Parts: sequence; structure tokens; C-alpha cells
Amino acid sequence: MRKLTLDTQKIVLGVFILLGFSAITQARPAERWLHVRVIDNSGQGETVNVNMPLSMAEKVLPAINQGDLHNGKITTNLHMEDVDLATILDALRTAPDNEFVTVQSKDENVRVAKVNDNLVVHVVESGKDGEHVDVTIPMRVINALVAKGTHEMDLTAAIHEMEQMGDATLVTVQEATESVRIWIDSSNSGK
Amino acid sequence: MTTRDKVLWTIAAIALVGCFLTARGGIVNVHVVERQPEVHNIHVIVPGILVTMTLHLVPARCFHNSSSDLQQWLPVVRAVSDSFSKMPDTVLVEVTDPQEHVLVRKSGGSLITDVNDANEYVHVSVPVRMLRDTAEIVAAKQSRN
Repeated sequence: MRKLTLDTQKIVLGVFILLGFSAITQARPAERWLHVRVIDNSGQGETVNVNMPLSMAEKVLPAINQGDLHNGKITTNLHMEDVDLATILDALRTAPDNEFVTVQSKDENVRVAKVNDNLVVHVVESGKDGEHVDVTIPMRVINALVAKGTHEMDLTAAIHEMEQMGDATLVTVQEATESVRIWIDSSNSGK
Repeated sequence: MTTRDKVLWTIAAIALVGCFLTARGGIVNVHVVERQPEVHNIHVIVPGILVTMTLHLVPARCFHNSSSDLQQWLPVVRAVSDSFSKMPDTVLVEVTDPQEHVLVRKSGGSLITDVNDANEYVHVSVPVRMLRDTAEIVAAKQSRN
């Protein structure tokens, strides 16, 4: 077999380096998808599935300038009926993992806690048809949503943080007649 | 080259340009099957480029009374169009109940909507690029008024 000359070897090496560089620059992280599934359990048999790439939401939201929504941010005073949400969120940021609210009554149990850097809300209503709600939002998403000292909600930043998250279920609601699940993963089919 | 050859080459060139323009603009495909009370089957296939070219010919004053100002929504249309082109083919929305099935999906460069119920079946396939071009043309004509 004929040996390759030094020039040919350099060219082949250069081509491999170019191909490798091209592969690296084209390799993108897997697209993250937000899924919403609503299943009607009342006997109607209705199901609703929505699959939305987070990158699309991240690009589209800043383009909407309507009402309080501008450049992907909602301007709000974050004061709701004498409750200063911004201050509460500031306190949440610095607080260690803890139970913040626990309500146990004959009608419902409510638990609000910070667990493993996630804000967790559980609501369980009593009775056969009682509603079960589970909300788990990573603190970093909340931090991005409400930047410290601001009075606006940055939806684009929150979505950007969600893109960095692993697969996670954000919201589940179980009722006698309906169940809702909102989650994030890398599958576009939401199966 | 004989006259016959020239004619054949011209036809081939026109067909090639036509194919290129059709491929670029995509195809609008509307299929409606009405099952009740009477059976109707309507199938319309139009090259997207024809829609945008026709819009160019419509005088700007025809868009004078358009209720919504498209100009403010153009960035949204552009953002959706850009994201859409990079997205893999997928089902975006699916609603299923015993009476009806609604499916909104992305296939190739087209947004496809299928509605199937006891009375009718509707299939609408629209190239997203054409939707964007249409929005751009209408917005430009609105701004001229």
C-alpha cells in the first residue's frame, strides 16, 4: 500500500478537525417541551394535550407588547390584598428548607414548604370528590420570575430557567371530574 | 436547435421555475367533507406563492378598514415562524372527545389542522412561511393607508 505524503496527511487531518468543529458547533442541547394534559373523568371522555417547545415561548413572549406584558415581562405591583408578594419571595429565597404553612382542618390540608430548593404546595381536600393539588416550582425559576427588588415578573427569564431544568412535573391537579398535569421533558410527544 | 426544441426547453424552464416557486411557497391544502345533512366533498389545493402574489395585486385601500392592526403583531408572527421552522414535526394540540377529534400539528413547514366529527371532516394545511409572508404584505399595505 502506498504511504500518504505529509501534505496529504495534513489535509486529511485538517478535514477531520473541520468536521469535528462543525459537529461541535451544530450539536445543540435537546429541545425542552412544556406539556399540558387535561383529562375529563366525568364520563365525557374528553382529553386535551398541548405540547409547546420552551424555546418557542422564550422567543415569542418578548415579541408580545400588549397590556401589562412588555418584552416578556409583566409589570405588576405584586401587592395583592395587603400581601406584598415580592417581600415574601425575597424571604423565601434566603430561607432554608422548611415548612412555611401547614393547615390541617376537616375540610382540607394545605402545606407550603421549601424542599430541596423547590417551592412545594400541596392541597388535599377531604371527601371522596376532594381536590388534590401538587405544585412544585424550582426556586431558581421563581428567582428568575421575580428578580430581587423589582416589581415585574420576567416570564422569559423563568422560561429560560425551565429550559435548563431536568424532566419535572410542575403541577398536578386531581379532581373527581378532571385531572390536569403540567410537566417539562425532552419528548415532543408528551408520552 | 429547432423551433420544437426551443418550445420544449421553454416549457421545461417554466415547469422548473413553477416547481421551484411552489416548493418555496409551499401548498395550501383545504379539504372539507360534509357528511350530514348532505354529502359534499370540497378539495382546494393552491400553491402558497399564488396567495402571496395575489395579495400583492390587491390595492392597499382594500385593507383600509381592517379591524386589527397587524403591524404590532408582526414581531410575534416572525418569532413563531422562526421557531416553527426549527421545530421537529410534532402534535401541538390534540383534543379528543366522543363527538370530535381536533388535531393541530406541525409537519414539514406546514401547520396542519384536522377537525373530525360526526357531521364533517375538515383538513387545512397552510405553509407557515406563507402565513408570515401574508402577514408582512397585509401589514405593509395597512401602513400605507
